[in-house]
Amino acid sequence: MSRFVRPETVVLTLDNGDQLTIRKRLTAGEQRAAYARIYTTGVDGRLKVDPLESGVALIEAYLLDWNLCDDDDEPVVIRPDKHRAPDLDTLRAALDSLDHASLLEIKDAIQTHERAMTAARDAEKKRIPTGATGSSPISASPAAAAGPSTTSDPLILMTTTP
Amino acid sequence: MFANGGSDSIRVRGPRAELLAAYAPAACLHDWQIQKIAGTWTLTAGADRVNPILLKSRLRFAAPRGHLGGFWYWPIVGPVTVAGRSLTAKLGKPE
Repeated sequence: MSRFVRPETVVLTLDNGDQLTIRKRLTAGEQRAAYARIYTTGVDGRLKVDPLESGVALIEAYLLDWNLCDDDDEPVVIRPDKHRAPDLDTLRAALDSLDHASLLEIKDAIQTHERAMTAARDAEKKRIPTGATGSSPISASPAAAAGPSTTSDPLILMTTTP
Repeated sequence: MFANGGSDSIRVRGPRAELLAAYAPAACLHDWQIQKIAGTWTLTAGADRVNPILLKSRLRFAAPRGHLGGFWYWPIVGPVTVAGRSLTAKLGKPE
């Protein structure tokens, strides 16, 4: 598993069958943008979390699309272009129009996914690759380190005919 | 966006466009031009804010459709070459 995040998506299904398409993982930049939306500067100049924004900021960071419909059973489009992330103002307006229970359900689904991804990544970090001997991170140098560091043959230039 | 060309070649150009990797921008392009010669579309453009990680992903060239709204999309079907601030790539058929 690389340290870099590829733009992959995951579909989450809510209890009633509604589906959310979300980012599988956030990049550092996307995470920082989410933090920027939930931190405010207090009167003492220190940063503090705005609890009213934290859930919505999490949803905005992850959510790319959904198949939610309005009372007329018309899809509520948050991403007019399927190849792009939704515009944040459009997304916020749609989220603010949900009933509170639905907003919490979406937030909970994304939090559950986020925890699962964190657990999977932690497990991956702890996993010892197949065939590895599990040596300590800092190995002592061999006592008898004299002689050449490799035993390979001298490099010989090889050519092949096409 | 402007287009011209003869019977077997087409050239399209525009001021701004993007390379997208799924939903994420992999490069911001300017002064781009795509040319179709003998059935092959080739993109050349100036490139800013190139993300070298995302350039290895499956990419899509996205050009604004001007007053029509939305975007034209072409899949990138060959390796993207970045030289300095210029970028070239081979495109598939427009989506």
